[in-house]
Amino acid sequence: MEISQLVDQHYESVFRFAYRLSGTSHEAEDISQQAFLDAQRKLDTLRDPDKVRAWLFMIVRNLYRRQIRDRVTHGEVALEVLVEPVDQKRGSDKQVEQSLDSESLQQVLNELPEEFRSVLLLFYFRELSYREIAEQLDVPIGTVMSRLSRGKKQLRERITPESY
Amino acid sequence: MDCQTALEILDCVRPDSDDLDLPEMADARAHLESCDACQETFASMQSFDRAVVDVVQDVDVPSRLRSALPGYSRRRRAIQAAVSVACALMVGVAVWLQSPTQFTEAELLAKLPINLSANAKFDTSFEFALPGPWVANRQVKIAPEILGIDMDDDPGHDAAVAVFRYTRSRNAPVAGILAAIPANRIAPLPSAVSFALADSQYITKDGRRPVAAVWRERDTVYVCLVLGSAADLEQIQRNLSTAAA
Repeated sequence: MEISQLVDQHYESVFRFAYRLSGTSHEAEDISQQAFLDAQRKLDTLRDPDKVRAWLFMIVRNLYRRQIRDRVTHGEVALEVLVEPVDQKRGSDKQVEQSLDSESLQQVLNELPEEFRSVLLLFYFRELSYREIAEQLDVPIGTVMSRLSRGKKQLRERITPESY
Repeated sequence: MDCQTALEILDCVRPDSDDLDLPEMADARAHLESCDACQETFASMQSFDRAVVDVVQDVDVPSRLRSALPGYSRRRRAIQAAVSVACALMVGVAVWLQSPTQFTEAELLAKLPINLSANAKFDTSFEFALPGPWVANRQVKIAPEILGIDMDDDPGHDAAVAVFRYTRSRNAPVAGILAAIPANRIAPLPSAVSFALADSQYITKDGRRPVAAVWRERDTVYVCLVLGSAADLEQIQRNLSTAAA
């Protein structure tokens, strides 16, 4: 597969995934650019062309994690990426229900730790089954199920049931 | 399998996918088939997930992004640049075509005739008003018919002109023309903002030496062309400015 073809076919979904992961457009642009440069370099390691989008998402996710690590090193990282998600009972008084739209979804995603956000996004971008997510992230299936369950619970609690 | 365990597993089923058919889903699937409550909850979970799947894709992709990514060829970049330049040129040409021709003050004076016998009635291609003092002053008699002057190749009159006569008590009357042209047709605009402040200048026209004054008021540039001397013109200027005051 030619890199130009790969980019043409997938740059929009890569950007969208990067945006949902990072929460900002400029970070998503930076990550998308770097992701395709990495993809160009590693193109011969792509084993299953049918899973190319999932492969690109994993590159994006790794770049984003690296970015967070660098920011932690430089003391710039926001606290919410390090902490566990707020437990339903403990945090219920602080939670405000929102309607399901792009911004409110992003707001809830931003408040989740990266590990939960990545799993949720891989699930909702529908590229990988939970088993494949576990394989790609190199974590046990139970961990993916748990992160998925807790992440979705957060979403459901924050987004009004009437809106979907 | 109890309901809670089944639902935790079923929460991993992507909406509208084959995930429910995966072998590891067999027990949860069996529970679902036999439990009405879980069927209802599962339907609700799937409905929520479908809504999120739709919204999660709702992200505007910057139009400039593609050109910043690998595989965007120089040729493609060049084509895009050429298209941009072509579009800009087309817009420029369109604007230029729609923009009326502009004249300098000297060109305007050169194109104003002193013999208006061949000129047609003004076609009202633009709106203008005669300056107030000119209309109100009893010593200035403006001919009732406004004539048009065509100064370029485009259809329509570019300037409107009226013949006037300024009567003096002891001397012979002075004849002249008062012309009006939209200010956007003259560049640069004259600095004088009233007839009284306009300098007089002699010009050569058809072998004669009329004297002219050019000024602008609001969105119109006016020219007063007098077939006489600079002193005659200055007298009219004084008279009209006094009357106006």
